[in-house]
Amino acid sequence: MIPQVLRLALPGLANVWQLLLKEVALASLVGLEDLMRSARVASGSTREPFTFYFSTLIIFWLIALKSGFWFERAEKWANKGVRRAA
Amino acid sequence: MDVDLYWESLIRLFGFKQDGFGDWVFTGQGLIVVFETVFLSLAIGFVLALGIAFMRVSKNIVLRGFGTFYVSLFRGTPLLIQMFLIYYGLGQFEFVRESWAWTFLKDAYFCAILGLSLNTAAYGGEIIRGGLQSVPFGQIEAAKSLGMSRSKIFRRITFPIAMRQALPGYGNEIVLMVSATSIASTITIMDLTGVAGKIGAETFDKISPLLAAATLYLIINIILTQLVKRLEHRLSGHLRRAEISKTAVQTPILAR
Repeated sequence: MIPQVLRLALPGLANVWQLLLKEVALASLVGLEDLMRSARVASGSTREPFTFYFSTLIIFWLIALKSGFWFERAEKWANKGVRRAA
Repeated sequence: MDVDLYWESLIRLFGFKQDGFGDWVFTGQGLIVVFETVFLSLAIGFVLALGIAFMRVSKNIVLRGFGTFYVSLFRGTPLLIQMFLIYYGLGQFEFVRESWAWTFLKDAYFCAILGLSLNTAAYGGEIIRGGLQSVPFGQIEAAKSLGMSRSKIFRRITFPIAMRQALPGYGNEIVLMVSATSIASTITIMDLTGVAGKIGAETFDKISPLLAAATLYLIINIILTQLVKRLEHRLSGHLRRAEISKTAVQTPILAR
């Protein structure tokens, strides 16, 4: 069953993963010591908010791009037994 | 959970407050801020989204590349960071602080609307692109065979069909935008979340005002969802079976 379920569920899972990745930044508001929190602390003490927030942005973006790439590969793998028209 | 504080918070969230003399004054905070922010950023975001959607379906590789880059960047990173970067980040540079743009960029309200607009442009752009690409080629072919010009085909055929297709997705985006305005409270905007936080700080009871704010967000979103649903219903008349008029005499169905 799992191979058949995974094939259909992977695109949705990729979506949820992306959303969750971005929601994690919100957790810093309630005190989770994550990337965003560190960036806030660092930009507060160095007075260079752009440097740190921009780095955080790039890191989040790279994670999103990289995981998107892996999900694409996973989808290809899950779909390898499926015959496609043309 | 303090029920009295809950009701009091609701009144404050609507923007009313008793001053020192016991008179009710309108503070201009809370609900009205949410409406303003959502309306302005959706309006600006929609125009930008149209631009992004056209770039994404453009044949020009530079435009298409920029569209893809923009969407990937704004959808791949948290809105919170985008907003912090605009509000706190840009002030780091001397030349930004000395330029004419600083008059706007030092204003938290402007930054919130800018951040939300840029963000919703990316999501909306993808929704509209999906709509544009879903227009059946036969429709465009038929319009061509009638001798319509390219701009007329776009105005009368492609655009209306694309918008109808994009509507459910866009409705979803509107609801997300209402929820996203709460992030604006982190850059000192006094929206529902901001006011609720303030009441929480004053009374040391965080849960009651936040529950009141949540109630209002929920009600706004339920109303908006219903409005979009109605609009969808109105715009999909051609897809439904003809309704039998109530005044017309109904003939009994003899054979099925």
